[in-house]
Amino acid sequence: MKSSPLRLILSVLVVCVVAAAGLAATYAVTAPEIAAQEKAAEADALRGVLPDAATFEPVDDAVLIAAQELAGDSKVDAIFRALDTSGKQIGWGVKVGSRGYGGYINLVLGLDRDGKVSGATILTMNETPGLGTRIQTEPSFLEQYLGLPAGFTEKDVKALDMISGATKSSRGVRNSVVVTSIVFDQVLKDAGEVR
Amino acid sequence: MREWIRVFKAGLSVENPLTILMIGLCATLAVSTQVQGAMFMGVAVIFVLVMSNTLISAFRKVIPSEVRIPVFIVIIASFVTIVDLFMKAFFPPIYAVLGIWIPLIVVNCIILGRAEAFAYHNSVWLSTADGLGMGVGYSIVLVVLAFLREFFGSGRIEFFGQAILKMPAGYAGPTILMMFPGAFILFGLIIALMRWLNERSSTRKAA
Amino acid sequence: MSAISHYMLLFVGAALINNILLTRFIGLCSFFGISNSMHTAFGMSAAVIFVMMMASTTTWIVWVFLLAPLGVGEFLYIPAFILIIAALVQFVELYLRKYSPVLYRAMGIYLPLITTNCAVLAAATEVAKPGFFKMAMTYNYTIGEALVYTLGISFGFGFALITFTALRERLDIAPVPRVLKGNPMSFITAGLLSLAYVGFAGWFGL
Repeated sequence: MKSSPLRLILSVLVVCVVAAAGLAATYAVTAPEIAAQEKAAEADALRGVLPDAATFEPVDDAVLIAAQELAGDSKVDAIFRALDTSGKQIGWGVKVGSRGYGGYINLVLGLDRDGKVSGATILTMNETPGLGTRIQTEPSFLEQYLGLPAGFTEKDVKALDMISGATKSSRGVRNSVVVTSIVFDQVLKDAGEVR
Repeated sequence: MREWIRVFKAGLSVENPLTILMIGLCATLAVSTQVQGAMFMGVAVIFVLVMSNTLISAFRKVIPSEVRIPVFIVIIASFVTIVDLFMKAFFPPIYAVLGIWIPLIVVNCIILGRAEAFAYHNSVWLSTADGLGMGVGYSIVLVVLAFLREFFGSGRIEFFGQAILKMPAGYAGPTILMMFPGAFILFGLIIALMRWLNERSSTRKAA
Repeated sequence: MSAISHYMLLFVGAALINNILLTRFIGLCSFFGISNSMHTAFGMSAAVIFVMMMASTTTWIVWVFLLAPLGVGEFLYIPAFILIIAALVQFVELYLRKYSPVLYRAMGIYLPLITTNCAVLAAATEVAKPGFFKMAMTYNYTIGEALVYTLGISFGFGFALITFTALRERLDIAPVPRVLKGNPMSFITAGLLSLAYVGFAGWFGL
């Protein structure tokens, strides 16, 4: 049976319309859930690196853009002011990513008011499981960055340990920490504090 | 019913998509680093395969053969998107591991291949069996490969961050198994082993 | 970084360091299926480069001017992109058959295979919807970057395919244990080749 061109076009069109409608409905159901999950993961990470903070609010766009210009090969996705219950600023939360072995390793770093590293958590990464992922599964690796004083440079961080066999993954984390230090030194210190 | 079982079984053994037909390899080698991820990938493939096979065979009489490929593609892509969105919404840690491989199910040759070769010519009932058999056959090989790579490569099997099976402390596995080259080599050895076993059993039968 | 070195790095990163076949496992079906003769390997590589460039340009335009502004990209990109690729392949096939019999003879029969080649969909999605691969870039690609990146990926595909075919032609005449002959040996060879590409990862500290 040879179908008429009209029937061909019509059948493809019907399938497309039904599919698009079905997907739009699925998206409507899942989109709030996806957004909530992402937000929850981010909030968890921020609370993890700055346990004393009560709320987090994003900095002005101008500050973020200034920070992004300093980032070079790394990227700064977001910067938050960490406020305690009375609304006083107690530090900064920085979402930062650098290239590891399998793409960007995205971290959340917490800085206290003086720019000292108060916490570091890996948000997402695409490193080789069991090898590159040891930057996360071996807590001692991230812990060695804690307490680094403000304004540390790449030289100070180079003395710290890398994970053997996962050099590129380790370096990805290190680059992010260094970029955050530079951003604090050149942007956040002068960006002032709220209230 | 007997026919149904025969079609289902074919997907597991004589027509196993991975070891016999050798289709749909890309995702297999890439997601077999973790048993947990491999299982979710298997479920995703089974879902898409069963749903698209069933739907395509239900409408096989009204889909004009000249435009069947675009129609198949849209149907498959829609089910893939549904899996993609649901996994992103309810299992974000697993989605983070599987990443691009969920969207790429759409170009997995198994699914379009079964739609074209089986579902478009057979009843709904049998097409469901075919989808299920192929999907399960795919998942079994995938999970076995993932088990070997995760257990011997990293020395532990993890589910949701909990180790459920561990090598003795001090075990330093060949990490190459976890990396890309290891997957190729291990898979090559597995097909060689299966071929050797097949040959042995057939020469026994002959003798 | 000057513009030229930026594009060079993008190209090398896509072609060698993140080689789509041997370090990302994308596009393997055709890799094993058609790597048994040099002739087909060249035909397929040419067809992939050609289709990938067209597909990426089209998906980029569709994403930037249609899907993203309408806000439907998140749930329609998979069907939309795969349909674009399928339609494009069909169109190219018809056009070549009619107007360029020489080209059609060289790569015509590989064109239908490309519709289900994951590499094309992956590259087209990556340039249109960045962050898909978690590869080199994370901010939006400009059209220039998208083209250079796709060119890199498709050249990497062709390069890996042709080297692998050369190895396989040699293997056919090499004494290999009987159970390993054919596919098993091809996989092991691919593993060793992929090991070589792991080495590229150290280049330029990329």
